[in-house]
Amino acid sequence: MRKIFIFLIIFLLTLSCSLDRSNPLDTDNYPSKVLGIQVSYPEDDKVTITWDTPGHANDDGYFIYRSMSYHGFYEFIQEIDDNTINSYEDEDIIIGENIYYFYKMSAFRIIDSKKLEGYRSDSKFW
Amino acid sequence: MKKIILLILIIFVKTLSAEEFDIKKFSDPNKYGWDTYEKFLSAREDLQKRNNLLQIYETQKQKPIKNVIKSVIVPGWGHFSAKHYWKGQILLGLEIVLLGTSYLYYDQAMDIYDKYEKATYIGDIEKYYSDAKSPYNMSQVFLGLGIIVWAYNIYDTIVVTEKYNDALWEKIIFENQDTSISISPTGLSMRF
Repeated sequence: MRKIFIFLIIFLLTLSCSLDRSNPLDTDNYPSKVLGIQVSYPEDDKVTITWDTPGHANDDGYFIYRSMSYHGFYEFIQEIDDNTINSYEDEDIIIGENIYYFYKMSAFRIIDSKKLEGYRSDSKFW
Repeated sequence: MKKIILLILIIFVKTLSAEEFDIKKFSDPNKYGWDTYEKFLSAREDLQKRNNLLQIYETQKQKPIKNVIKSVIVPGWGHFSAKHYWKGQILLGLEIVLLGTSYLYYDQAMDIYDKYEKATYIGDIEKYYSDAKSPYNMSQVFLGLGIIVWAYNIYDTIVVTEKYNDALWEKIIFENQDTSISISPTGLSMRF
């Protein structure tokens, strides 16, 4: 009985060792989702994206991603290093029938000279 | 204070000398069953013979600590030395399987953990950490089982070494007995 007890303790001690959350960016205080995103209808070969800045006072900027399909790969297109800016003009687009552009955004915060990116927003398109 | 110490000392010495040494009882040859000189010689011869057997045993017996060290280094090695080959093979095989599986899971976990450490997107951070946890926990389970088998292997090495020594002693006694047939409390044995 004592042997089983000792073996059980060894086993539980081994199991109690868990993975460290060693990534310095792994924190509960990450940037919140960017809200209020609106994508304008293309005008003069460009699309204007606007968003709400309140709630991002502690963040350092925004990332913008673009895709040509809703579930497709969202390519990183722009970094905005100012949390007070609330619009971006995408001029790298082609206007045509059945051509749509889908956008996602996220806010980032600089921690230990690394950029911690918050959750990406829902997809918006014009 | 000195008087009290002296008194205690006197009582102590008195208690020690209470039982007198019985020289008659000490030198009585009958207490060992040596009624005659022949019996005494026979007993001496038997004692010498046993002493010789004991010397043989001492040179051939295995030290448990030596086998334990072997088993600590390579599980099952102590069992092989103590001629318990099956147990040694099972323990060694089990240890290889358990630690090997643990290592494979650990390696898989560390691949994902590397991605977690490099991730900057909170979604990736959460995902990679969560993904790494499952194989890591599995590696811990197999490591725990491996440690238990390893600990049991060390404990059992002592047991099998003692068994080996017991068997060795019986073998030495058996091989050096005068008659070809002997009856003992454990049964009848015959030498050819």
